[in-house]
Amino acid sequence: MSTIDAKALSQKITPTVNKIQKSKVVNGISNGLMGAMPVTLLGAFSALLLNLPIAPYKEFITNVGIANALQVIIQFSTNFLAVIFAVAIAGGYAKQHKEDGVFAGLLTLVCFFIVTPMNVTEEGVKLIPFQWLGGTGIFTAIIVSLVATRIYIYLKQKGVTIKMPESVPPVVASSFSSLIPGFAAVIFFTIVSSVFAATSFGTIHQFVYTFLQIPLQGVGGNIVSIVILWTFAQLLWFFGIHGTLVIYSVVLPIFTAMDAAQMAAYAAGEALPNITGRAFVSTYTMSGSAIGFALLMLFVAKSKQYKTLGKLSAVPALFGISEPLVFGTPLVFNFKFFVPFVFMNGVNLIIAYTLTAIGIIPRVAGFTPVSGTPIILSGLMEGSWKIAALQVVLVALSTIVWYPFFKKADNEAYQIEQSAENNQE
Amino acid sequence: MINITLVCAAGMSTSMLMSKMQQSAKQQGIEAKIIAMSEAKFETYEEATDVLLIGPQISYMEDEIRSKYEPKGMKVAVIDMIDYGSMNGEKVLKDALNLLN
Repeated sequence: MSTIDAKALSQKITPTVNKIQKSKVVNGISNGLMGAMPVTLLGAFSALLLNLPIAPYKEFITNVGIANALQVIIQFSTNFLAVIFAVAIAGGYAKQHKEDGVFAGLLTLVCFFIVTPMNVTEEGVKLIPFQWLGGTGIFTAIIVSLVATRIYIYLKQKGVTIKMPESVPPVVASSFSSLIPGFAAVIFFTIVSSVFAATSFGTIHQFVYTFLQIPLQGVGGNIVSIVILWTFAQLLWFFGIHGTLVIYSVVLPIFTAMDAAQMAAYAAGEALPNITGRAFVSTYTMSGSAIGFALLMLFVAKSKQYKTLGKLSAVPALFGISEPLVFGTPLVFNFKFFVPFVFMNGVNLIIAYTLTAIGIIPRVAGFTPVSGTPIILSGLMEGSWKIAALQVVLVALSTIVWYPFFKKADNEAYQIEQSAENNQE
Repeated sequence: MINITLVCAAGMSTSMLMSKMQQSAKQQGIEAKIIAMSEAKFETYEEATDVLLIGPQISYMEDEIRSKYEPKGMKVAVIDMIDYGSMNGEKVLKDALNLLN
């Protein structure tokens, strides 16, 4: 009976989830950020290689000059993420409107640097400081890319363009058709730039950072919101919806900016600014915190049903792929496992947060996790064996919490299997 | 030659099912090209797709995906939850082929 209720409820949730997912802005941002992933990873791996805590190795890479080279790479990846995201998001957003992503990216690049402060030295040398080109500039980058691209697309699709006579080749005509919409975006940001120059903020970067990025990071990045959001994500999984994906479509910009600041500090060997962020959540909630359950099925199950499921789902679960577990068991609409399935994420996050806050476990380095990175390795990549050790402890805890639920279900399945066999004989 | 494309959130778990389906197709001597990718990537995928299968975790996108791709002549279906979870490549392949008949 309860199953039917759950299905009805799920159908009510679906349209809302779908609406968030269908938004061109949301999709543009997440596709753009995903597209920029290789660059983010490049910076992350360089920072890891630079900071491996082995003294002879460190000395070697410094003497040979590798350390220097790695720093250059970090400078133009991790410390350059605002610029990279601006171009990538403009491209992703333009594609949502079925427009040319390359031109939108270039236009955004111009607009972004128009609103970014430039210094002139006494010798007359013009310099762009890196201050706003990394993590701190990400929100402005997102805003500029969305607005510039929107202006461009709006005017272009409205037909506010220079019309060429038919004899002009289409290639030439199309480059002219981008001209007025492109100009409009550039002029708009020139005005924005001068308006902010007249205020005490000086630049839109400072304004957005103070009034948007910092407060949003406070709201989205604090442990209470994270526990609520990731419990909600599990609830969506319970209804068969990819909850993590849905939550990320909302918090991705915030988490990305936080992780970027974290990575930059890690690469520079400075104190890490955040406890939470995307890396934190992914590190401590792998496979919906249900890995313990998969291990129980694999090693302890008496019933054939759960033993088979364990063989199928345990290895993927260790790599952070939870679908076989979620849909095979199934955990979807399955009230037998509702409590651990929905609430373990929150428990793990609170434990990890507390241990990090009091300093027993170091803060995560903020590396964007690549999906498919196995547990323990994903912890080590965050900069310390202690983080990997905590992952193991949390798996052990998940095993204990899941045990009574698992045992009951396994016994039931075993008895059904036994009586079925007896009937056959 | 039948082209079957599987899509899900990141293309990770569908890629597991993909290899199971490829094995099954090979055993039965069915000529099929089966590949898996993320839903976002599929938007720019240019090669032929006869059957488009959606992972159950993004079944909330079903209507949108149907309205986008059915007019292009693709058969669209959501993979059965249990078949998906148990990575039953043979069954999913059979269902996919039935869609074409």
